[in-house]
Amino acid sequence: MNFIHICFSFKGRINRTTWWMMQLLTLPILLIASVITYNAYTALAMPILITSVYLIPIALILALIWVSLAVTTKRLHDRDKQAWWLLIYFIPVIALFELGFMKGTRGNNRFGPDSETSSETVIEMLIRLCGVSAIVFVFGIFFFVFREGAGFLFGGLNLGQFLTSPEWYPTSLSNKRYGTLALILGTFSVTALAMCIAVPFGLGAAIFVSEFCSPKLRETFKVIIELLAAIPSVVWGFIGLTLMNQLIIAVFNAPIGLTMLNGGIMLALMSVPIIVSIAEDALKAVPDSYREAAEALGATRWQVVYRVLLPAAKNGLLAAVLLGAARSIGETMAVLMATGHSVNIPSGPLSWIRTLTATIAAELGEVARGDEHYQVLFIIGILLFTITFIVNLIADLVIKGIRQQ
Amino acid sequence: MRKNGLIDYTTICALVVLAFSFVIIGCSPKDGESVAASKATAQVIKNKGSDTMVNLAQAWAERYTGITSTASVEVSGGGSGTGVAALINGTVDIANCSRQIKPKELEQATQNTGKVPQEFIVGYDALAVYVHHDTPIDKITIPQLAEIYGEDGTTTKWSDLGITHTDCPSDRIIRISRQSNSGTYFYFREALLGKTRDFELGSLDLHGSKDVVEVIGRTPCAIGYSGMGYATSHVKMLEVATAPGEPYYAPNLENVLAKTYPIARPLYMYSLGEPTGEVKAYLDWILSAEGQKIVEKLGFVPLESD
Amino acid sequence: MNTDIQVSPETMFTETEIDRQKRRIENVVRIFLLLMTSLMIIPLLLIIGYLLYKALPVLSLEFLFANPKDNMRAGGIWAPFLGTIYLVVVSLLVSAPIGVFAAVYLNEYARESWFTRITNLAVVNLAGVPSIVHALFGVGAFVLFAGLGESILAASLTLAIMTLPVIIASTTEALKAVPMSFREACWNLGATRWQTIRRIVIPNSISGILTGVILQVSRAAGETAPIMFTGAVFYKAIAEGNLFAYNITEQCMALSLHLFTISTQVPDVTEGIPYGTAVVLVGSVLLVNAAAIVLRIYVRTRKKW
Repeated sequence: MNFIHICFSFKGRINRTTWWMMQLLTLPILLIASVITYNAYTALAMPILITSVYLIPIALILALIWVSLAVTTKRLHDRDKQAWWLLIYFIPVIALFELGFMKGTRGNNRFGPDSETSSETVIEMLIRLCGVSAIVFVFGIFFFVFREGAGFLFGGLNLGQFLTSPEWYPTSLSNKRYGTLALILGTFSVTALAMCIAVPFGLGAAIFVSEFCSPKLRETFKVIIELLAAIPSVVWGFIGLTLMNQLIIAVFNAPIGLTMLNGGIMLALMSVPIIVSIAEDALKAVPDSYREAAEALGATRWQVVYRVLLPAAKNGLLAAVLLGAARSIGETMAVLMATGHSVNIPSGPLSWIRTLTATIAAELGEVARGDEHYQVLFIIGILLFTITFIVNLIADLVIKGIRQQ
Repeated sequence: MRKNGLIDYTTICALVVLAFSFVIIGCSPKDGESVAASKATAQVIKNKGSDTMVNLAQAWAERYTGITSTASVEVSGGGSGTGVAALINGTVDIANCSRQIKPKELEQATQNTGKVPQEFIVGYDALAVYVHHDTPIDKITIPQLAEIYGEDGTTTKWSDLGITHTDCPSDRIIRISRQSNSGTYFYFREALLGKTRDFELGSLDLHGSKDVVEVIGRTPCAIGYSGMGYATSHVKMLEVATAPGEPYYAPNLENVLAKTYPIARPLYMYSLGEPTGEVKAYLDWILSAEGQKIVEKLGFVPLESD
Repeated sequence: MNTDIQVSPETMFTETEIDRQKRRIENVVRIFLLLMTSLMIIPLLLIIGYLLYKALPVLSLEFLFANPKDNMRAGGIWAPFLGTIYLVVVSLLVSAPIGVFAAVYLNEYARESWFTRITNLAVVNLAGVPSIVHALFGVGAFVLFAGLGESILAASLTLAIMTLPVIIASTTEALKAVPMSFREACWNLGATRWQTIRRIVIPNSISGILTGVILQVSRAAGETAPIMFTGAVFYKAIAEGNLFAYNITEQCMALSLHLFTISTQVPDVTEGIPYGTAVVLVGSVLLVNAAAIVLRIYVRTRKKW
């Protein structure tokens, strides 16, 4: 029985699993379609051209009602009952029991042959849908963030000023200015600082773990690195606010310990696990024959690493660094709590800065929906999404590059 | 491969779907059963808005839960703007606001919900100017503060104020502020600079009133502003005068009630329409002596008791 | 000294000056790298030690099962703790089936094609989207567009989408570990693709899949930014000891946000309480992770192939 038949035909039989799977399949679509339709009704003031797009979900809902009736009828056939039993829908618990839990009649009945295998097509459809869900979600994220910010992005925002002016005055009464240069520089400087710390340590640890360790020690290290990765970012922020703050004041005699350095150290600790695990994978991916050949020539371990493995794995290592940086750029709570949160062009490790992410986190709570300021925060979201998307894309291409070699 | 059928996948799928349907039942408000169930326990009063007031609102909510069993209060912060926005959308029962509602917002709320928001002044908040307790300064005027905080201000060093601050070797004034859309920030900016001038960028825009005081308590060079209820032993509050030559007033109960302290503002609560039932009971209790006692306990200024 | 050009076996294996130098460098490098590795590990121990030390005065069972009181300056963390459990469970119910099925698709069904590549890329990018952008998405899609309002449901859905890649990645790994010959043997017996997956592939990788699910739990429990604007509140009074105190359409407190608010916004908090909250948060996340690790090691030791 093919998928179309299962969905739309009122003939034949289906078993319990198929029925459940069809519910799983139709329910989310029904939900989404109704939400869109509901929004269409509340936005009827829109031009007819735009609202007519919303006819699609209404058609979808009607189709889904058909599907639901067809599926349930076939399930009733399986129970050797005629379609008028559909009225059972009005008895909630018993309907669920009858449709979802009772076995169909064994062997052929008046509606057709046994239905044991009919669930497969539906399950496969479900699997396919879940498989592409990631694409839907990525587009969804972009769409909804874009949707909230689009109005101002195309109507009024001075994009040049947005990207090049350091003046961030979103709430000025006389002269609102939305310049994010200081925030962009803040994000990049703290990320750069974090990478300066994290890259040597991360790569060093990756080399040590993959080349110089006994298997047992390696497992231990990997477990600890994994645990390090699991610590929530708000806890890192809390550490930055309390412990690291006092340390920086004491060590550097700085007036305030909530600085770029503080945030950089926190970000470094957060991105090191990523760098280690990806860099280690990259080193592992170098064929053992390379190592053996070098060792046969009398090279020591370090010489093997330095002369053979690093050049051979350089793409993977680059990807590790890129993904670590992407993590730092996107981090929110730790930098919100640890960097001082001050609109400044960064002037050194002990200056206070503010990042793009922290700005959204600090200000989104207090803006009125639809306000210019609100929309600008979403535009910053688009900017962040784009930056991390590009970095991730490059990292992916770099990794794919290795695979093809 | 599989010796014993411990896991029946059909059952798992069934459970997942069941869970799904519970989620859906949970999210449809029309479902009679679930609403009835939640009504039976307690009516939820949704209270949202100003971060300045969130501690106060939370204290009220906490105490009120002990007094009555018919209502429970849900408090969230986010700022005055959020509270008003929620009021306009009709999603809260009471909005907290550390500024007065704007006429435009009032109109929007009336249009959207069909009810006119009612205003209640529930207390006063004085913004104190804080410095580290070792700072050799006790008094400051509004124009001086304006030069410290304002855009292109001329006062950037402690020596510009005519004092020598030995604990602050760099002599630089570190400005502590709040994130730029908090009610506190708005009010302080307006009190200092009016509506036309902005704050100079580069201040540390901290996320909470408490954060401000804590950072100042650790930082000899710093100056900042926060509710007077947040004072600790590491900081001191400055006396403020409206202009040079005018008398200085310390931020305390009497001066705020006498309206002589210049940086004080009323705290508002807004209900949608004339409050009824549990919401009215709650507001009445807040305005009663017992509710006002909590206002004072939290370092805000209670309403005058006649 | 042997001046002969011929190298005898003895001289070949005695150390020359160059060899000694090589060995010295080797040792230095080894120690240097060990130091680097331990420098990353020491912070973990230090931080946990520091948090525990500071939290010790308040840590007790009562701390976990009591509500915050006295304007959150004292008391326990029951309400936020329960809220986090709610958020995690609901997000798990959504993301676990989708994630596992998605991994099954990518590993068992998808052929080498541009579409598969894009799907994989989407998974990678979904993992790379900053958490605050997820929050914006949650606000735009669930809170506003879907009309869920700020609620446990909206927050959980946001978390679910955010943690989906965690489940997909580890399930894919688990499925990959099942040898191809198992599948081929099954196909040769006439089983269909899905029958093979259901009877052979999933039973043989169920522990790996569970590991992924556990990791999702740990990730979801720790996140703050995505729930800040979609469903977590500053304060909400609930009954102590009642596991069903929250309603899924209403907001809840959450452990991570609670730590943020009491460490930045609430004045005069009893000193140990933020540390206690941090310890409970880190502790539960690490415990969950440790469970995943133990499960993985257990699987590896009793692997049949």
